[in-house]
Amino acid sequence: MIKLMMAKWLQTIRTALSKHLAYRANFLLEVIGPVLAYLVLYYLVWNSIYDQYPAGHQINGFSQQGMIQYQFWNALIIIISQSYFAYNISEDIRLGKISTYLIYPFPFWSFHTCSFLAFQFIQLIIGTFAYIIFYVFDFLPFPGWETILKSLFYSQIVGFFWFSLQYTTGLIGFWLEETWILRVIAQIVTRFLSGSLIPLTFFPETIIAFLKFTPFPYLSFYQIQFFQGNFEGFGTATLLLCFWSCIFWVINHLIWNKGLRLYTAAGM
Amino acid sequence: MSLKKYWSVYKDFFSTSYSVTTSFRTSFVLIVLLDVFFYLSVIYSIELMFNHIDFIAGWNKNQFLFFVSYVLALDQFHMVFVSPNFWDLSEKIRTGNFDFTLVRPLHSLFNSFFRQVRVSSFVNFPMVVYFLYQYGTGAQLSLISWLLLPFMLVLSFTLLVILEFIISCLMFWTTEGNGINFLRMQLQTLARWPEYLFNPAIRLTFTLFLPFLVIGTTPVEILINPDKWYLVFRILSLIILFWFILLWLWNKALIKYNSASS
Repeated sequence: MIKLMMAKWLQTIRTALSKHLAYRANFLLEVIGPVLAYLVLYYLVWNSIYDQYPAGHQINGFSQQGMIQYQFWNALIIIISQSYFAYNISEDIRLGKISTYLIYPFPFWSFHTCSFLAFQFIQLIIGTFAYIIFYVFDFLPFPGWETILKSLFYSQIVGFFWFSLQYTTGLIGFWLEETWILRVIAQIVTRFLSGSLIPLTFFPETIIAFLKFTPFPYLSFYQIQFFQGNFEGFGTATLLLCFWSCIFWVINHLIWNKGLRLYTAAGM
Repeated sequence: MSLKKYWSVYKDFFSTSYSVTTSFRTSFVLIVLLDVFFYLSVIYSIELMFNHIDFIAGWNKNQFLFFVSYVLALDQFHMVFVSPNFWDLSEKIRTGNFDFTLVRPLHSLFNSFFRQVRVSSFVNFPMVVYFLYQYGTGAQLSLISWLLLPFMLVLSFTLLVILEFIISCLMFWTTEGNGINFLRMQLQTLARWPEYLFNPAIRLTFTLFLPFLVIGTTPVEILINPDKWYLVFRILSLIILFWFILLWLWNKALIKYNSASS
């Protein structure tokens, strides 16, 4: 039974891999392009800001090199943990494609989880290449194998949380015609409140204190700290993200059950 | 077909878009929220940066935030008048529904990029006007600058959409156009920063060959310092030049189009 299940999962992951890579140029422009464009932009912006001051000047505790490294780590963690977008979930619902999953002995969530795993696999490879390039050109240091492995483990938890959040926005397709709006709102709010746009230390103390109870700072700011070898709060961050992922999975389960009652199987 | 006829067609486009938008009320509210979150995150990020620095690209806090408000106003026009059409074009090319655009008695450029109007984004215009007023006053804009502001916005918007239409022509070669749309969005993001932040090679590329950096910087330079009025000719000449490039490229793209449905 387990062997059969494993075979199904592996085959679905393989299919998802080829689907993700069917239009390679498009994949690069859609997934990698935006991250690299942001990186180049913020690299130039911060360099230009620091160049106004004498060498060694610090802005809010960040040296020029420190800020540039922050931006590079940020780009890497977006690639390996925050790039997945559940485009297809709402489309499957809207176009009546989920009828298939109601008949097949392979649930809807399993299919999309396989798609996510395949995507993560591709992103890990791309992330590794990106890191090697950043390292060779001296933009990022090598923080040590232990730090890398521990941080990569954490990145997968972030990736899973991100997937859960994306899955929720996709399932809203039972009620909403255009779920991309929710996805973009989630992205804007997350990028801003996670310290991805500017480091969280630029925020007022009260806002930082409040944010610590939400998943946001653990998605970018803490993750960057971990890659930089500062593991303060590692346990709390891991537990909190696991907790929030569980919450989202319960919500997803409830939405799925409620949504199925509304499902009209369009096109049948 | 006369300009009057196009205007009457556009009114019909607007009216059908209005009906569609108001039919999906949750989406309507969410789009309003999306714009609000986006604008606040951009403005607040810059505010936070200026708590620790004095200048960016030679502009002080109010001048820089006026620049940001200006590009947000452009973004608002973009969201309302053209934004949904880029995604529609991508799908039409992929599915072959672009055939219907070609057979209509309208110029295919007009029919492709002005068919959809995102009426919900109109709601946020007061917010953008408030930002412009707030930071424009802080930047001590003169009366002549305030009078020039709408004219500059129209020029910037025209240049922005012409450049984006040119980028979108690439969809005809890639077939799956979402990647091109993401590329277009990145170039739009570039326009949200002043050209003086970038090194000479990037400035040359994005002020001459793909002048996205001119869209925001040059008009705001004129508005902050009206003595530089002659820079208007820089924008006007770019609009004319890239308009002709667009017409040439669009015709090439139409030849390249291979209908998926026929």
